[in-house]
Formats: sequence, structure tokens, C-alpha cells
Amino acid sequence: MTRTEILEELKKVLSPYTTDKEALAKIDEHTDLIKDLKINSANLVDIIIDAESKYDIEIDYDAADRMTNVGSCIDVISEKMAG
Amino acid sequence: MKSIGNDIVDLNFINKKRTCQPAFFAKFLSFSEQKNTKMHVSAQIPFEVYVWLLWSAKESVYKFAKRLQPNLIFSPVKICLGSEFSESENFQNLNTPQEFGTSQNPGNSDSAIFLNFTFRDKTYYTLSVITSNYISTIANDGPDFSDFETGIKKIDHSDYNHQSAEVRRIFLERLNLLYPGQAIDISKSEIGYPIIKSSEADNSIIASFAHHGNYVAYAFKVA
Repeated sequence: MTRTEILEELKKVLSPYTTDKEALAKIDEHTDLIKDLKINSANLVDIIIDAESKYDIEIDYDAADRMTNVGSCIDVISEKMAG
Repeated sequence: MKSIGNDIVDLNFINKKRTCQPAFFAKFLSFSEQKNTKMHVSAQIPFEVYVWLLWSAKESVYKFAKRLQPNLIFSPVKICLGSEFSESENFQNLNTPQEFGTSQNPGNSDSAIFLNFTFRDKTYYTLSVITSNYISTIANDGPDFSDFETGIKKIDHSDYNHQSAEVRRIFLERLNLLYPGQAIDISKSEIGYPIIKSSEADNSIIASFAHHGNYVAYAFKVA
């Protein structure tokens, strides 16, 4: 998958956890999950688990810590999909 | 430099089934924390509440530490629960979070739990109040919470902008009672914590805000 394809799929993963659909529609690699999408930190683990399930990958502690913005989420998902 | 960190978890907004799945809690609890059944049994709290208690405490510790180290990244598994915990009767200087607009402690069925954590070679202390609806936590770098004040309020819907506006509104209302006649302004730092400015220069108030679901909470102390 290309980064653009992952980004489009990532929107679906993030969607249940943000009410700001306008911001979600406009996300780019610099979008911060908490500051820009107003996602509650209590949902960060849900996002990691949903991403694991969607992409059939396993995200370890260190990788999870990096997933603070859309670009770093795509980095982690790409790396894990590449195995 | 002084700091403060708080957190609130609306227990009506957690997914109980998912919380109890190892795939979920293993993302932020260490192996020893996962196996610390003694604690949640002794404190008579269900496992899912224990999981969110630790989340809330770790988040509060992180907020305390990040104010002093702005580049810090939230690594909950590296914020490690100490071996001891105590319920409220076991320590002094308890100043449990108060529900906004009341002067009483939350109901009798509530429990206050005092924990300690190590994170990057430092020890942090947390004080959490658990009710049937929420877990509210404050973090400190010492075991004395007597100079903290906390307010908690149930709000009518969980929209982010409403949460954010309500926590500011109730905090400002509290400050206006404490400091009548002063012009008080609340702004936001670059890393997200509230900055309080008053017309009296000698007031140095440090505060932390939290919201989740239908609950908002502030914590503050005068440094």
C-alpha cells in the first residue's frame, strides 16, 4: 500500500474517535491526533488495536509511543506491514 | 519548578469487554501490573476499573512530568507502578477531589486510592477517587496532596468543545470566588496545559484540566 492509501484507510480507523469530521476529512501527515482531531487520549489504545486488526500487524510499545500524528501512524503501519 | 497533572475517566464511556482483553490492557500495563491482582482485589474494584485506574494515574504522572520536560512522549508502560498502595484511611493530608458545587466528599461507596510510580528515575504519587461513574486522579512529586484542590462536574454532552468550555468555565468560577475582584485570564500553553494569569502578580496558580465523556475536572494549587 502507498502512504496515500494508508492515509485514506487510517481515516476510517480514526473516525469513531473524533467528532470533528471536517478536520478528519482534511488530515495530512502533520495532523496531530489529540491537538488537531481532538481525540481523547483515553482512545489512543483503541486506535492502536483497531489499526492492528485492520492491517493485520502487531504494534509494540515503542512503535505505539510514536503514533502521535498521522505521519508517524503511517510510518509505523508501513514498517509493520513490510514485516 | 512546580507542576501538576490530573485526569478523569468517565466509566460510562469505557468499553468494559475490550478493557478486559489482554490485547488492550497489555498495551499500557507492564507484566507485573497486569498480574497485580492483589491490588484490585484488596481495593474491591473490578478488573476493568483497575485497568482504567492505572491508565488515569499514568496519564496524570505524564502530564505532571511533561510540563517540566516538554519534549516528553507518553510511554505509559514506562511509568511503573510501585509495590505499595493504600486506601485513604492509611495516609494523612488527604484532600480528595470534590464534585463541583458541593462541599462534601463524594458518597460513602467511593474509594480514594493512593499509588506511587517510578518514571525516568523519579518517584511520583497519585491520588484517585473512584465512584460508580468516574475515576478522577491527581499526580504530584511528593505524597502530600493537602495543597491541591480539585473540582469535578458532570456535563450534559460529550462534545470536545463543550468539555473544553465547561472545564474553563467552572474553574474560572472557582477562582473568582477565591480571588474576588481580580481579573483572571486562562490561556493554553504550546504543549496544552492551562496558564493562569491574574491581575495580582503574586498569585502563582498552576492548574491542569481533564475531560472524558460527560465529566470534566480541574486540579490546581497555588505555588
